[in-house]
Amino acid sequence: MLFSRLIVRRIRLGSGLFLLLFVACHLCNLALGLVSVDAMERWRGALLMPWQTSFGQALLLGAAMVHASLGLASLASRHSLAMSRTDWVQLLLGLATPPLLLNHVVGLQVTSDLVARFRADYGYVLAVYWRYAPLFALQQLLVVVIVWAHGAIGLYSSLVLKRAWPRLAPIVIPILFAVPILALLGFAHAGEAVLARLATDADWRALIEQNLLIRREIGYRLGVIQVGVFLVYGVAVAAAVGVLAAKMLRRRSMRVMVSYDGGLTALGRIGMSVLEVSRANDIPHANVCGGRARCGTCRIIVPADADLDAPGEAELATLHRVQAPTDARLACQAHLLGRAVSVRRVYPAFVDATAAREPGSWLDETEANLEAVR
Amino acid sequence: MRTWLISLAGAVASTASSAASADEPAFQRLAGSASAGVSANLQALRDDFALAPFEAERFGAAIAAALRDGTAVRTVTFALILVVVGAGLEWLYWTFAAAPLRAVVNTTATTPRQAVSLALRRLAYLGVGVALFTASTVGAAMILPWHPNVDTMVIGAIALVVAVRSAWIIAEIVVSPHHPSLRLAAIQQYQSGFLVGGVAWLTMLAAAVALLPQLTTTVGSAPHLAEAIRVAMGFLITVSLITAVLIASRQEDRGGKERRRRPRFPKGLIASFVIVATAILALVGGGRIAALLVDIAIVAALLGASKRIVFFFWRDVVGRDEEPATEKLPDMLPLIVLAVVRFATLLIGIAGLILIMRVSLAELATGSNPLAQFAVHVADTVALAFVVYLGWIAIRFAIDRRLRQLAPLDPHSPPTENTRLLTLLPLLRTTLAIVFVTLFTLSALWTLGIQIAPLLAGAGIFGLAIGFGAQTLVRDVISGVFFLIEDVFRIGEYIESGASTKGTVEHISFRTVALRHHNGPVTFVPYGLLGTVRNDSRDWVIDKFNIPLPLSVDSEKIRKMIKAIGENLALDSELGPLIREPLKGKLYRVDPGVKIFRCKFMTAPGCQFDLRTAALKKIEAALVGAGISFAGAGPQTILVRRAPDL
Repeated sequence: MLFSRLIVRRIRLGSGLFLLLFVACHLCNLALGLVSVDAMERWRGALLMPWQTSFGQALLLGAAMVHASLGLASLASRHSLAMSRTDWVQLLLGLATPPLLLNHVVGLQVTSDLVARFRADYGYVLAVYWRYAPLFALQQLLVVVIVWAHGAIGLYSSLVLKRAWPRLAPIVIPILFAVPILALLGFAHAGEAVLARLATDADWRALIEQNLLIRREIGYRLGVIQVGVFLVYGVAVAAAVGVLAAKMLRRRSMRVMVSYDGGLTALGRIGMSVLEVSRANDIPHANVCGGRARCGTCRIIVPADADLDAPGEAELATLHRVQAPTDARLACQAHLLGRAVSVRRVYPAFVDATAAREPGSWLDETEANLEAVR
Repeated sequence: MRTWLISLAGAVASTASSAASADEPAFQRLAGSASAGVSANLQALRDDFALAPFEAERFGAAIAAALRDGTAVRTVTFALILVVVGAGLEWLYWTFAAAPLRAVVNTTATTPRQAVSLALRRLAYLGVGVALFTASTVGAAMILPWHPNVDTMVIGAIALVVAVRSAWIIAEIVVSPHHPSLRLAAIQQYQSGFLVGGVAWLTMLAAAVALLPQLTTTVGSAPHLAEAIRVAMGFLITVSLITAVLIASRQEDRGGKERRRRPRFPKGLIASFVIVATAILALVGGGRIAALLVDIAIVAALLGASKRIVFFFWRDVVGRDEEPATEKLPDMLPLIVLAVVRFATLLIGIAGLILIMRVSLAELATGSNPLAQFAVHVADTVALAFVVYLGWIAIRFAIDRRLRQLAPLDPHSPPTENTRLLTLLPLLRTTLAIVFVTLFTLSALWTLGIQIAPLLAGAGIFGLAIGFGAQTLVRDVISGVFFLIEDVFRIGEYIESGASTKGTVEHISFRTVALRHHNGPVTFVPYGLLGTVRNDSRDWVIDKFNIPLPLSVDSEKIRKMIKAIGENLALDSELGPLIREPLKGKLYRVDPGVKIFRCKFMTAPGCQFDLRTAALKKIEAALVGAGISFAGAGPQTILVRRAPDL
């Protein structure tokens, strides 16, 4: 691999946070609709303009592409579909975002980049969505929620493992709730105002219909762009899914036995991580971060000669952080190579994020339990 | 339990048929109106499907208009706010509650009762989540300024989501596909995942059918379209239900070969038939008859499965799928729970019937509706059966527990102070069973409105004939009652009656007593023929025996010797405790050539033979030691010395 897993993970998180920041600004701007359409327009300069410069656009586009491709790459590098519910939600929301968002981006940003006299202000956008193309409005409303949920879950999952989380939570969680709700309310409020103005202000309506005409003139070019992006994205998704499916098909008969403490055994396939084996077989196994080598709660004790791949940089860093003994591995990073392995789980299945924030907090008790079992 | 159910069913059938014959005109009326209703229903159905396409078109136009004037966009915006609020708050809840829930589901239940308590905790965690979702979405929906009419639709949609989620949660907890030890029903692993999905799917269809009219009236008036969709969804529900029933009733074939395969009642087939019949009835005959059929079918199915369902929770105590073994006493609790479950099922079923028939309370009170009246009577009978059964269980368990505390009764071991209880309690149990059954039967008949006075009075000459025949029987039973009341004998006592009837009492029934002769044969004596009874096993016995000794012995010396032997015997560790009055002997008679010494002692009944043997043995040994021999009974040689000089 070109970069280490640790760096890739950081890039993915960073690009996601960057995109989330943009979405937050955009939604805040939308929330101003609760005041008036004029207020939205006034604040657009501060909240959205910086992102709409060519530099901002390039950054956003780059971040989106990096984030999407890293997400697809991580899907392709899986060995099974044994994921936590949160991961499934994240995967599906993430996959749904680009196609749903595409016509908003192309219809507004690309059009105003292409045609100088096209004025994509809030009045126009709202008029289009509330009067001229209501189906697109439904689509964009959906994507607001999808993108925000994807971002919020991602942000929460990374922050909850930090020591500062108990102090951050009272600030972050209300923001996570307030932004989309206020944005949707602002959209509804401003929409009513725009509908009322459309009915009374004929000049303004003419202006908007002129804008629409421009949009219709370059409709074909926009269509080509959209289809192109769709194609590329579709191919990328298909490739990722295909790689995953091929891997699963090819290895479907390469069974490896994993035996756990407490006399449990499970069958996995070559290449699956121990955590995936646990999850696929309903074996209780703690995993606060969902298998990203971040939390250290899926840690297992393995014999020195266990037939597992060598620990990577991310795993070593986490193991070091939680001060794990030398015979410990992270179950989410320890992949089966072929021979049966025997592992001992360190944490009970019901640990929560405190175990990741303060590695020692659960351990005394757990070690005592393990001693009792031995 | 089963017998009274069957008798109940018989009573129901007979009374129903009698009601049918009594209310002939009413039934004809009903049949006539039913056939008229069928044709009207079919006509309506045809109209529904004929008009549905036009209404669909109008409906589409209404939606398009709603899109244009901003109603739809606004509705969706607010609906998404509901999603953010509801799902978000619940997600927040789960960030705290997920760990404890994991702790619960990853516990392995050791007994089915523990599985129940774990399931309740699981229900609490999941239920709070759903409650939070419901409260927050409904609360938010009430705050938001919806367009007119839309809010009821939104509440309907929330109700649908909540209904499906609740059903899903309950199915998940009961079936527990991923944690077999927490399962609350006898469901195979391969059926489990399917069943959970099936329940959620069926709930969704049912809720959708229930909410459909609301949607169509809110968006645009389309009653025929709604009806057509409802019929289509009804078809879908029927198909899904049949699939579910067939899969649920499928037996595990794998590994079933070595077990003997018994022919089984074709439950799946019958259930499918009932479902199809219900669907057809609902389609052509109106909902009420179909609902009646559903009610009856569900009650019957639940009653049939109730024992399996209840005993599942005590499967480690009671044998699986077996009658509670008679030797091994089952717990009282499962039986009581079973009774409660059956009672509740029947009562709810009957209440359902009354609800479905839409009988008003006034009608119920005055009894003007014969069918409702009958249903009430059946409910009364069921309640009576429940009370009787509970009473019977309580008494039976009290008696059985007392019997278990006392030692098991062996008629041939020495009697203890518990013998009388052990004799009477089983008899009491049987008597009470007969009394309970009789009382219940009579009360049930009376409750159902059947005249029992003639039954009680007997039926004329027939009763007389039976009465003559039963004369001896009655005499036996009555004598038996008095024998037992007066405590003439107990199990394990040796009694004699007349010349030849003697033996140890082995068994006591209503009419006879079984006597085991000491040579082995058992005589069954009716109490009426017992007459004078001599009980050889009461309190004490005195045993006497003679010892003939030569005339030359010193009587006083012999008396002292026997007394010493008696004192010696009283000190014996084995025989001593049995002796009430020690052995004594004295000169009794002097016959020609022989002195007869009579010995006697008092001991516990039945011990005299052993004790006599031991006494004789010791006396003989003492005599031998003293150089004295027993006097012979035959002719004695008497040496007469002749005087030489006489």
